[in-house]
Amino acid sequence: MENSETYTLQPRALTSEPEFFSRMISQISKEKLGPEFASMKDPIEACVHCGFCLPTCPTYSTMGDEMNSPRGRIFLMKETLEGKLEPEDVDPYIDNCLGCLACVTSCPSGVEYGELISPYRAWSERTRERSLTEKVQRFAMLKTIPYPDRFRKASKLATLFKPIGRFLPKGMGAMLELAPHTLPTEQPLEELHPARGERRGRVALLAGCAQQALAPRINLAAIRVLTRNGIEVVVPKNQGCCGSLAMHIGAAHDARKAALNNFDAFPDDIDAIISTAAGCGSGMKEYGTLFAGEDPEILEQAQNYASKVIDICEYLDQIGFVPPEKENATPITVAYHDACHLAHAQKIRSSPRKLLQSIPGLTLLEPAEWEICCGSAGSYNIEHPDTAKELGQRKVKNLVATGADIVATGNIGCLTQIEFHSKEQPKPLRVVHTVELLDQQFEE
Amino acid sequence: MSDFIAQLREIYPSERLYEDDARITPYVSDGLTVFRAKPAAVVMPVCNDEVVKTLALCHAHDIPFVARGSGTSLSGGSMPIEEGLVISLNQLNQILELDPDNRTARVQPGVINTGISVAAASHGLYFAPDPSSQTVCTIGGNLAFNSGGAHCLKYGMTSNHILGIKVALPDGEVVELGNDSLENTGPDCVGLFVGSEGLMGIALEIQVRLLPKPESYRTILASYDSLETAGDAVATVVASGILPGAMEIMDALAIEAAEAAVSAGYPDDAAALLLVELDGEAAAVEAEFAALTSAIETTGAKEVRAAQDENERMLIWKGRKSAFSAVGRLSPDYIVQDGVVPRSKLGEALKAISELSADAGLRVANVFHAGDGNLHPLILFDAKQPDGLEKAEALAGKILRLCLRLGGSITGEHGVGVEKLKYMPDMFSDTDLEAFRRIRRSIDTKEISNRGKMLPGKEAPALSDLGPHPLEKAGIISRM
Amino acid sequence: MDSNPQSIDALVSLVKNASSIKVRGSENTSTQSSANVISLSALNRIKEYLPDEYTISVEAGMATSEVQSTLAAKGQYLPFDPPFASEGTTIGATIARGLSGPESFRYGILRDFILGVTFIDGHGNLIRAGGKVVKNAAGFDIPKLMSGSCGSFGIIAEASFKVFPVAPETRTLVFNYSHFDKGHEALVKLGKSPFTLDALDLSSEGSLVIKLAGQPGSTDERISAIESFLESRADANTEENNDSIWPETVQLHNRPATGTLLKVPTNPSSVMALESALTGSNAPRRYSIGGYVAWVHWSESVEAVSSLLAKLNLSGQVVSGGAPAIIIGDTGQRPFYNRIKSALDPDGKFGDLYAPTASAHL
Ligand SMILES: Cc1cc2nc3c(=O)[nH]c(=O)nc-3n(C[C@H](O)[C@H](O)[C@H](O)COP(=O)(O)OP(=O)(O)OC[C@H]3O[C@@H](n4cnc5c(N)ncnc54)[C@H](O)[C@@H]3O)c2cc1C
Ligand code: SF4
Ligand code: SF4
Repeated sequence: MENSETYTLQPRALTSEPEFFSRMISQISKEKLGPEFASMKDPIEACVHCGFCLPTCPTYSTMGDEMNSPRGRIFLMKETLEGKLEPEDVDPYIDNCLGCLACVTSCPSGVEYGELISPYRAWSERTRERSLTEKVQRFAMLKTIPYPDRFRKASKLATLFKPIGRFLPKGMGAMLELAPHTLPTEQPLEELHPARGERRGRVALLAGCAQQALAPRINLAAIRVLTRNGIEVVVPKNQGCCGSLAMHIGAAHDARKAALNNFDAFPDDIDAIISTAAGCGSGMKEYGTLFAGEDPEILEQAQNYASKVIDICEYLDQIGFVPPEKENATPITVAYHDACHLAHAQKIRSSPRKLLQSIPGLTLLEPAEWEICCGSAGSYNIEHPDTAKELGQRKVKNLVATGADIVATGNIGCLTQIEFHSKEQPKPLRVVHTVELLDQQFEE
Repeated sequence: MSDFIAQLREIYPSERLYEDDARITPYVSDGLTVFRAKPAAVVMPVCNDEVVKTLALCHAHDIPFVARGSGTSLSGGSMPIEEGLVISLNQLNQILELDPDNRTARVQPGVINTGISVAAASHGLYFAPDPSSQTVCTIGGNLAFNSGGAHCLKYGMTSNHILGIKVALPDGEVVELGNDSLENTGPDCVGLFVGSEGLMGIALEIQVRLLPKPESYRTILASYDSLETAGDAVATVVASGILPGAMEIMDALAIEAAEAAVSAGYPDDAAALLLVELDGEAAAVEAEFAALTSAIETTGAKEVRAAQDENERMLIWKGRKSAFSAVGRLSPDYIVQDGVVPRSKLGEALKAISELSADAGLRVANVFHAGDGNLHPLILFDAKQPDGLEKAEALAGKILRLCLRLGGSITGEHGVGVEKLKYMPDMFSDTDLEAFRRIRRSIDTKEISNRGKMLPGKEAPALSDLGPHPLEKAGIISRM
Repeated sequence: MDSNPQSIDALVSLVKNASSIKVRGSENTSTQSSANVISLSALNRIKEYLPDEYTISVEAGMATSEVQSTLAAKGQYLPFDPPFASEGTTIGATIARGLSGPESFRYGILRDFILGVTFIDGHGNLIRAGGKVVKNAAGFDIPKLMSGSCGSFGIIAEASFKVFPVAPETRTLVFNYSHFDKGHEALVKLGKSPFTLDALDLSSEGSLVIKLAGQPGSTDERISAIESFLESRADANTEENNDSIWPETVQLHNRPATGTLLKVPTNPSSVMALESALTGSNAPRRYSIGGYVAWVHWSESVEAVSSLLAKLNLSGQVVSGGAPAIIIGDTGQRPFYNRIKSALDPDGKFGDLYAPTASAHL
């Protein structure tokens, strides 16, 4: 019976000094990070490592590895901020993050991952060396998507280059692949749209950049629905991109520049700033973080602006949207796709559903895996074409499975991504913005 | 070691063999973040053959390994072994077979607990064990820890729902335990393997039992002025002869945290909340419901309310199941304990815990499986304080010894892991522990499978509560 | 040899000094009287019974029927429904042989209710494992390992169980089908349904026997629901726990005096295969626990039934009568068994389940 080989706790060769009680929490100091980055500390400390965020994270659910999970990324960022890991070693996994914020929705501990990832990206970008292709790609993105005119020109150019796409680096090839063949004709928006009937409010509309080029019909629909509900709509002339895309990829400087321009362009005498694109809306709501550490006066301006930002559906629901009286309703089934930047970033899930359900004859269907991103996520499908494609196909599969006639969503990125990946389907999906379905109710 | 790694490279492509710090770092701890250790490498097998080859290699080179599911263990069970290998099973995540007539499913270890129920739903079946972490944790982890959940009061733990296992033993031999029946012949080897905390090799395929979904549920919430009265109410319900599906208690801190996390709609002025759920055939449930309400009436509840529909019921459970993580909102750090006491002594135990908590000057949140006396005191502390963790651990130790004194156990479902190693000698004699070790060595001669967990080394008898953990002293683990 | 130790200490020293030892499982059987057979009849006390806790700890030599009556006095019972109680079986033997009755269909078999054991291994060590509380995850689950080990890892001295309250109202229903296949179809259908039955058995003639229990007054409604679900009226419907029906299922009362009684783990699909393989043989048999076990009484050569089972990938355990080994048919678990055996009984004092033996205990 004597069998002495029991494993005992013999001291084994030490590979590193044990660090008693050295929780990182005491090692990152807000002072050292500076005001611009101080907000990163709180989400790191709030994370209890429970993993509840894992199943809804699109990268974890496709790749299955810790470093591509929210829990893993938080840990990696913490270690990097503490100086235990080199930023360049960690970058690939941070880059893989779609910024969809599904992890925020599923986190019981209240970790505001968004307040970590955006500043972190800006933090690491400061010292980051990017390859030439990456630089060209980011430059191309930052300099075209936010500008409707340039975007139009680039699309035309892209159509010309499509045949050589496969000879280009992956991301650039994807940019070309995704570029629309044809764009709808330009439809400049009037500056003022008076309310119909009794005036109930006055709002300013952020026209958005890519959306205005890809689907001008959405803003037109929004304006019609708003005015018919008694809301006066201003479309400020000098407005430009809101800077969300730049913010998303860590180009904080570009983002601030864009935002500052809009602070000037938008009037003060308005009830709300309406966004019809979830990505823009959520980005603008984060201006407070973007300008943290800036001149207090500018910071106040940013916070003030951000507090007025509201999504079109949220707004319509708040004012009590009234659909027109209709005689005979045609039955129609609609699957609602939760855009990450609405559902996760702005926690708006019920108002679009309520609005849709107010449409006579409409049956609302819910796809499986609502939490999981469609892979569009701003510029993600350009930078990470493989994952984006996998997620796009998965989303389309779930939406098709509902058997709905139409898919409604609240973000232009999702709209194009889902449309694109459903092309391979026997019956491609028809994808519209929620507000377009509302608008149809007013059509004679 | 370098030889070992070189041979690993022959089994795994570099995308599935992590040797660099950036990819290893996220694996250094499980859900118990106060401890961590850095492995030599992490591998991500995609087939049984890779697992078997890996184990044979570890055996040949005497390299300790730890299997890892979703890393939600709360006792350090899936924490790596310094310079050992982590075998991540997340890509072995297929449901291989689902047989509705036999009510069984054969699954790979990386399948997520709820994934089984989702797959079985179209047949009206589900997998009963429901740890709060069920949306995240894997069946492999559930099996290794014999995880429980709110509903194991009536339906039993994971062990009661595992019929057969294909195991790769630590030396690479593959054996089959159990079968695809509820009954078995000879000793219950499945029962031994389940709950062995990863010390007996890696489960490759698992035959689980599925149950028909109950026809109807009745869920009630009763609020109390003190935790103790809620604890006593449990004894009253148990004594009334009704067998609820689940019986849970949350105290004020836990209620506050859960409310903040999911807005479950719990009464906000309660010192304690008792959650009781009945399930079964509609007619039977209604009859039990009448008996339950009259039993609860005698317990001095402030308010009793029943869930009005399935949505309300789901929300009540969501709050309960988020409570552990939600406590992260109340405190920068906490440790979860898992002691068990006899059910009739719940009130006494809860009172003693609140006294201990006051003495130590640390807040304790309680959210637990009251029906089977399984406490989960969450000790809130601040690791930034110089002696924060030490004080918390000392309090944890006192609570565990209290459970033992009342005739209970140091762990009901989270396992011993590394965290409760030092309390094993309080619960088992040297002879008992030696028998465990002999069994372990008959299966793993080199003791490489999850080395250093569950079974204390021979010379580590009762250790003082204070000071570094024995494994820390040995430099095997360190703290964050 | 002292064949009737009066205390656990005496039992320990007995094991230490013996080279081969066996425990008699029932005081009523006189078949085993060789020198190495001991009786635990002196170890027959209740160690602790806490009705409020719904747990009980008993010494292994206590008759199962006595444990049952102690519990019944407080309105409680052993939900795994230990069989053969009327034949004088002890609780230790019930654990060792891993025996559960038809009512285990509702909440689980023996392994699901055993909380702790104290046993003496082949080295003569007295080992305690598990606990007395209803939930415990510390240490290896040796109580489960001991269940069904047929004493080959050690001699069980004490055990504790989780018990449940007896339901106030019990009903037994019988549906007679014209053909086995029809009865089997109903068994599968009921098994998948949300009906919560206490027992569900099928005879080889196609009689489906159901037990259900619940709060007073709730069973009538449930019975009509079951009848409409099966689209037929019950041929018998008795209010009581019908004694003439239930012990029959396991004990096959009309079985011949000689021969071998086998427990064969099955599932609803393999029940069909086993029944067709046995059709034509005159072996008395019964399918219990909703089709998860078959009880077969075999009077011909055990080798024949062993290979019949092996062909169906089924394993059988000899519960009583002579046989070449205790486990027959599929022996897939043997390699693992051997490892554990080497840890707990390296010298083979307690016999080997897979090796030839004179006879099984009963
Ligand atoms: C917020 C939260 C709530 C929780 N609630 C509960 C609860 O209600 N009830 C409960 O019981 N637990 C609970 N837990 C603990 C934990 O979730 C469970 O122990 C779970 O079973 C672990 O699963 P995992 O996949 O994360 O396993 P891991 O943590 O990865 O591993 C756990 C153990 O299993 C071993 N292992 C994993 N896979 C295999 C395999 N295939 N073969 C052999 N060994 C393997 C590992 O080596 C390790 O020892 C909770 C944890 C958290 C964070
Ligand atoms: S933001 Fe989305 S992709 Fe990034 S970690 Fe969170 S869930 Fe994953
Ligand atoms: S769910 Fe929240 S607390 Fe849990 S690991 Fe994810 S981010 Fe951390």
